[in-house]
Amino acid sequence: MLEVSIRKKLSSFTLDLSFMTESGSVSILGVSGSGKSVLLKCIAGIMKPDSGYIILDGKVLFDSEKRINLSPQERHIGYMFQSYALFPDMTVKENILAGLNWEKDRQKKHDEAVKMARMLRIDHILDSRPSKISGGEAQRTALARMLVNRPCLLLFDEPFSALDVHLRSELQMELADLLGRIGKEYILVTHSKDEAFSLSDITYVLDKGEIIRQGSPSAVFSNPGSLRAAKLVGYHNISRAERHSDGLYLEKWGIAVDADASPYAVAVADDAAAFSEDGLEASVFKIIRDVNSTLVLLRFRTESFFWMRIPPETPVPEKPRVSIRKESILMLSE
Amino acid sequence: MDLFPLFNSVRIALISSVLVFFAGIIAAYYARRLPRVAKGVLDVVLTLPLVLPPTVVGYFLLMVFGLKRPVGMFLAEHGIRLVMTWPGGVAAAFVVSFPLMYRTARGAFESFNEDLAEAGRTLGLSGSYIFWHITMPYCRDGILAGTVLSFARALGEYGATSMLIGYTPGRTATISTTVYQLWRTGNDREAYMWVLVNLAISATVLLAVNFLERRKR
Repeated sequence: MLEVSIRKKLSSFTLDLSFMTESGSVSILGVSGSGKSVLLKCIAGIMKPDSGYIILDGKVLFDSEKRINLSPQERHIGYMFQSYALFPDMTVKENILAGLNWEKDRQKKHDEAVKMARMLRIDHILDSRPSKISGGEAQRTALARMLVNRPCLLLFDEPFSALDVHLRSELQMELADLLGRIGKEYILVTHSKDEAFSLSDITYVLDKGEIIRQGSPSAVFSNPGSLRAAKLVGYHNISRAERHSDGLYLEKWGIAVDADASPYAVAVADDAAAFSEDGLEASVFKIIRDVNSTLVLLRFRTESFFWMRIPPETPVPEKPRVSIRKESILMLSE
Repeated sequence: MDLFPLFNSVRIALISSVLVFFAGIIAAYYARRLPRVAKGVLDVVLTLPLVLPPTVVGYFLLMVFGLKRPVGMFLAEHGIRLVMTWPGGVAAAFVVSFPLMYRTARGAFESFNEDLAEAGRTLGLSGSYIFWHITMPYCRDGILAGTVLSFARALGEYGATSMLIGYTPGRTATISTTVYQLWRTGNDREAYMWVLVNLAISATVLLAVNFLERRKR
């Protein structure tokens, strides 16, 4: 169990957050520069918060009032860097052995390294240098080096951002499977909705140093709660809203919809609209046909686009009328 | 031909290179983390000998190590004389070649990817292990280039050396002071020999630097 409550002044904002994790897998979602890497570095002991405390499984790692600040060496927290930070002058095996510095017996050290390499399917590249292996292999080497160190908590800083896009989804599944088997508590920092979904039970949305939303990934995505969070979790259709006599007026598209509440803004999922005879008049700007779905970029009464995702092969009328399901209009605060 | 100047030059250059190697690395490693102003001041002080005329450096050295100066007197009491002796040549070569090592090593340390050291710390590796097994191998080429350059500079040192230790055949004569002395006394043929020796050594050293730099890329 990890308990964090810290403040740290950064150049453009102040990181100021408190949370407590009970579940094994947590993701922190935020754009780059939202302070998510700094948070991880503070937990690992690489950076020092200005004030607050960090407690892991009852052990105080940092407490500004009690003047406790354990070194990274004393914290036993695994940290996987965005770029993996493999030691370039060591082979894959030597990199793994560096994580086994706690074991003094040479034979046991060797056996442990080889065992871990087999488990992660990197035993065929043990003698290669990091510059000669693929991105996926580098990721597994970093993971092996971290795991043989037997840390109490694992931290991942955007573990897939250094990889080619087409490799990501497969490796995400692999990592999810592996982490499930290992059963260690971990925190993953990401800006990808997919990673949060496939790799965590709880997600925290971080914006300018504060947590603006938390919950299970599906809860956070199906109801982001605020305009800032909706943008961060990837909604395309977001508009300021205003209560008019004929319904809820959505500024961005110049349309009024039927809704009971009077929120600050609304978000509409891409797949929440449908063609229907009694819908609103729209014009089609562009149709993008993909294998799994068709994306239609619509305009209502303004220049702004409305994203509409429909099943593939669905015919798109030239002068469509579009209705938005009332229950899929998400009410947002500021 | 008396080979003493070759022996003396190489002896002085080797000893001063070893000293400069450690001093330059230590200074560069710590300077990197200093606050900006302190770093700027230190940078100027440590780099000055590179741009000052060597005779000015020699003058400063005489001011410090002269036998009637406090430091010089103190050292003499402990049996160390730097004026008119070959160890004085080491001191002169050290001061003049130090900036080359310091600046090259600092460049290498500044290009070091700090993530690597941080990753090492989270794995529980000690600071000295990280320095010797991760930082130094990473910066190896830059540090080697700096060492070779300082060695070459020490070998070619003339101005400060001639002021501090003069020219005594068989005792303080180096290749560069010998060339001057031979030319001044009209012994062109032998001066020419020493010029060739010096050219050969310097060319070899520069080839080594080029080789190291190419390998880095």
